[in-house]
Amino acid sequence: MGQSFLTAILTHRDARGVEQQLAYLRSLAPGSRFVVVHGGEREEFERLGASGADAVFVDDPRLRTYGNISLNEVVASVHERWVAGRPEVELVLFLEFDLLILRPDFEESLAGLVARSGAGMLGKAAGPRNDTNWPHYLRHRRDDALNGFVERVSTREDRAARLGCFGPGMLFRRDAFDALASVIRDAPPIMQEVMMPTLVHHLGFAVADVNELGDLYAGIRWRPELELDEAIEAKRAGRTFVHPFKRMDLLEALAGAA
Amino acid sequence: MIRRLLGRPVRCSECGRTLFRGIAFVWRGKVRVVGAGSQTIRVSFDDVNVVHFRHVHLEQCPTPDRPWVSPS
Repeated sequence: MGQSFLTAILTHRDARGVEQQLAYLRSLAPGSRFVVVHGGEREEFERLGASGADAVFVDDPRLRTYGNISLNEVVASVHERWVAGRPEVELVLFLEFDLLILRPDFEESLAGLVARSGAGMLGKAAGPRNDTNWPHYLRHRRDDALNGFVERVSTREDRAARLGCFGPGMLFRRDAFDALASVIRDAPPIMQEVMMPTLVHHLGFAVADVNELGDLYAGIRWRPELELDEAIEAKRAGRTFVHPFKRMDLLEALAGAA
Repeated sequence: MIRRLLGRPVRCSECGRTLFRGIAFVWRGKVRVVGAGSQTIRVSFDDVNVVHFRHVHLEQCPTPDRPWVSPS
């Protein structure tokens, strides 16, 4: 899909690990556009820059608070750097570094789901959470900062609606991403799995659960971490994505496995 | 231990799979459902005195609408 699909890799890894990942992705999908959002050590980001990677550094401690990560600055940075001035961008995928792409046609698969669903955002297990025991919803339902912010920006009748999704693999349609970026800098730094789908919904866009549309994200799980042999097995089975796979040093071996 | 001994299976009202083994009781004005926290679940009233639960993570919830989800 070329320039109309942007994949933003969210990573904190050292420069060598990021380069290994970029080499793998570019070999797998040479026509795709991959950019890097680095939230780790600045020295590693600077080493990355020297290698020619198209990357931006986001200095936000909320990117490193596991279990409570905020992507507000990431959304703003990605939009400013790679989307705002490029009308050809139609879809934006947030690829956490340990979300492994196994097939070169991942863009077509995701674009197909967006077209079928008519959604402004796709996510794994994305949907309403008000009637659930989801801990992130329960933790934030009385959050004055979140509730006040949603009240101010919402286009919906039900201002109390809260949504959630699993973090890896959030995909945004251009118009929803533009709307998100227009308000995100004023948003409280709430956990991404709550904030992103909730905000997209309240800005007037549909949020769809990939699990309801097919098995494209069936290989994505919370834990345990995948071993190389599991990743190879998934590749042979025709899976498009698996998560979590953290061994950037093994990507070359994975690429070589038939 | 008590839940293992006394808990009963609570099933997803959509697919019939066991969501958790639970014990429900009223304590200090609230209905406690011990065991529910082991899964992310949706709750609603099924009847005037009955609540039921469903999977949030649909890849665990095989139904005719989701033939790609393995029933095993």
